[in-house]
Amino acid sequence: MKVKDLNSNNFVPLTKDNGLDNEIASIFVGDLLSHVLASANDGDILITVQSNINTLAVASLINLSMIIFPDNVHVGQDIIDKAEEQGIPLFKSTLSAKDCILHLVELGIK
Amino acid sequence: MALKDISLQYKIVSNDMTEAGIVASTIKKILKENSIDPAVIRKVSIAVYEAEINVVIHSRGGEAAVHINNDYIEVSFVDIGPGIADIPMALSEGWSTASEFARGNGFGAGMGLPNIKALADDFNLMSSPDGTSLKIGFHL
Repeated sequence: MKVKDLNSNNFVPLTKDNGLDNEIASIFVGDLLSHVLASANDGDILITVQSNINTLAVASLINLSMIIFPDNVHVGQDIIDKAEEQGIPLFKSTLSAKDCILHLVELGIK
Repeated sequence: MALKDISLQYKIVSNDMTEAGIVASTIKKILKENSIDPAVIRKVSIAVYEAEINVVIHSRGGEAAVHINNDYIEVSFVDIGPGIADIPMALSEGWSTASEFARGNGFGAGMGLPNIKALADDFNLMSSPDGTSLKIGFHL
């Protein structure tokens, strides 16, 4: 499944078109970036409350497919612009991290 | 696969996250362009990024030097202190002296150096109060 095929009102896109063809592999949840670096895999969706520039660097280095910020976490416009430039789709959700995972599984992501 | 010789030099500024990752992302791009095994690119990228972050969050500033020669890449990080007081402790997972700034940015949990050591084929760390030198190497 590609990022653009993930149709759900629960995930509100923050970025525009760049990165929508990224292929989704699975799901990884984490706020500690060293842990994400060590354990997330190519194509994973990252669910995190860590909405800073380092999260984008990590996503880009290990080829994450997209990032979801749960619990309506604030994401600065500078981060959104940078993500758009780097082709990392960002989404925001009012759901908790747990409910984001459950919903993604319902949508067919394992 | 034999790569042409490449040498790069970067300045790393203390507590400045805006440029953190430039060394890792540049290396990743070069390795990708040269069709290096994605698993090798992943471990080089992660180790170099963690090492860059360490210089940013722990030191007063420093430099990184990259040398790619045939089938080997070596990246050296040299900073101007304050150094690592206890290297064996710093290499054990979970031990950290990181600041609130580092922790607020998603680092500083004591995973960086152990991650780097586990990923690098060659690892050499020396430190004194005047500075730390970390040299990591990978077979491509």
